[in-house]
Amino acid sequence: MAEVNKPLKINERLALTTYITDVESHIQVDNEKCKDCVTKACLYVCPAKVYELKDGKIIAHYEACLELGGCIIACHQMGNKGITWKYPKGGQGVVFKYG
Amino acid sequence: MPDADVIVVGAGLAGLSAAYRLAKLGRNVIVLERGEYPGSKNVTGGRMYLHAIKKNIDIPISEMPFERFVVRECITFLDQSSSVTLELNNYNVSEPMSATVLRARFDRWFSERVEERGATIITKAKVDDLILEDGFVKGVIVGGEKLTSNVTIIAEGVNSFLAEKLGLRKSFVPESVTVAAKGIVELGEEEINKRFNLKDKEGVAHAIIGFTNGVHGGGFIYTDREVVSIGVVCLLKSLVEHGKSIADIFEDFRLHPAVQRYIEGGKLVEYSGHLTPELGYNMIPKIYSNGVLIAGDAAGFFLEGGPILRGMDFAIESGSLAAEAANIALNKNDYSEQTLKIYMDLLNDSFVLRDLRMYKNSPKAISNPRLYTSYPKLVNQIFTQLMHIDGNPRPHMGSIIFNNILRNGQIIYLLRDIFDFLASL
Ligand SMILES: Cc1cc2nc3c(=O)[nH]c(=O)nc-3n(C[C@H](O)[C@H](O)[C@H](O)COP(=O)(O)OP(=O)(O)OC[C@H]3O[C@@H](n4cnc5c(N)ncnc54)[C@H](O)[C@@H]3O)c2cc1C
Ligand code: SF4
Repeated sequence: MAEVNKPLKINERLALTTYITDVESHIQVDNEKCKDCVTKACLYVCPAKVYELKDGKIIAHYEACLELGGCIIACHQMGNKGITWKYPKGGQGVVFKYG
Repeated sequence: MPDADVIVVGAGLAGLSAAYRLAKLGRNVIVLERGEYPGSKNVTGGRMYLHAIKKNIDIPISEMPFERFVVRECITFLDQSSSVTLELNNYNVSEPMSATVLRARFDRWFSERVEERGATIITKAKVDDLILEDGFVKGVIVGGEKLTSNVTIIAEGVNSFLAEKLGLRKSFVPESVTVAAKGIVELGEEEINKRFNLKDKEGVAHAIIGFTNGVHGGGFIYTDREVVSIGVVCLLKSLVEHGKSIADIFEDFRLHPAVQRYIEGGKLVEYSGHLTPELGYNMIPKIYSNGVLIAGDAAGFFLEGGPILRGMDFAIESGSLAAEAANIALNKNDYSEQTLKIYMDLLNDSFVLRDLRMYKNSPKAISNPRLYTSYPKLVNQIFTQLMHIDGNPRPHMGSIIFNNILRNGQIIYLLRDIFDFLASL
């Protein structure tokens, strides 16, 4: 639970949501492709900020994924197709209590 | 003999509605759901327009786990430090038209009713592929195992990777999909009643535009029983073009004084996100083929018309009609496209395609950038000046309004846009 009137860091906000985290990532990023990507579209469309640009490289924090699928649309059509993304295995990933 | 008459992929509203109908008809139906429980992956705004569930599910509305019944509709035009709100209050609601809903609770409850009717629901079961034989879908592959059926109903929601694999649907283009971020704020039932001026199970649906700094999108506030749903919905393409993060837009919205006055002191207890398909009637994919039917968000059945979002009533109705079509095919023992095409005829006769057809221009009307920038500002400027008394001379009402509209050279646009809105929405 978090106070509602203060700005929250994204990891604080995500601590509110329940996950069953797989040891294996359901997201792969090919930084060879990201290198030449102008838009970096993945950075804007993810409510969980799964994608982070660090030292010129894209890192995917897959354990925070809310499973929308917006990143793959953005990356494949406005970026340079660096992302491979599928739903986590059955029963894994996010578990909404309210939804 | 196949493992089931019908396999349904996805225990959302479309899938559960299909399974409910098929089980009632005595068919052997299996629902496969990738989540921990039905609803655990599902996010809506939201409020459900109740007509479809009333028609298709023979359980009284009062026994369904809805949060609150909507008696007040608000539309707010937000500016940095002011806002203008249009408010519609219904004081005599004998038969509620819509109710707020939390899907993790609702879908779970619904799935139990579907099981009581005789359907089998398997959770933690992600369908990875469809079985294709001689040009027919003959079932699914789940966790490496084959599960066979005469008809497969794809009700897997907005992304619908299976329909894409089948070649029935192309992947989304960035201008036909929105991204939503949502938060749940716990306040308690009494406190919500007090803050929103509500009684008993009364609720509010509130749509808000003007805070997204030019990004095509808006926000919402819905009162649930003891929590409040707040969120933002933005066009994917517009986010990337403006270089604005949906996560940051959510924060701007949550911390805006207009939202804070409702949720201050509450606890944020969940954060979620989801996509909506903004395809419009002209881009609806082919939704039937040999051995397979597509329903709900997977079929692109969603309508956004300004403050009105509709997908849940379409999901329930299309799921039920897919079940009817599957049942006809089972009676004939013919699962070909020619027979399953009856689904299309049923949809054409229903409110689903009628409404999507009727409002086919709404994606274009709401893609007008002035809706998210200049108009909310204009409304706020006019109202602020109208109400401003500080001892200095204040112009007449008419000149305030006309000066604001003329000064920005907006009159032509404004007239054209009003005409477009009225014709499309
Ligand atoms: C922010 C927001 C606000 C909205 N507001 C409203 C509103 O106010 N009113 C309204 O009517 N509509 C609203 N909608 C739209 C509405 O939520 C959807 O149209 C509706 O939920 C669609 O139902 P569905 O059953 O088709 O899909 P879903 O509810 O998405 O169900 C799909 C199911 O399939 C499962 N699944 C997916 N892939 C697989 C797989 N491979 N194997 C097994 N299972 C799988 C999922 O886990 C899920 O349970 C809103 C949507 C959003 C995002
Ligand atoms: S949008 Fe795709 S290609 Fe571009 S940086 Fe992000 S992951 Fe890499």
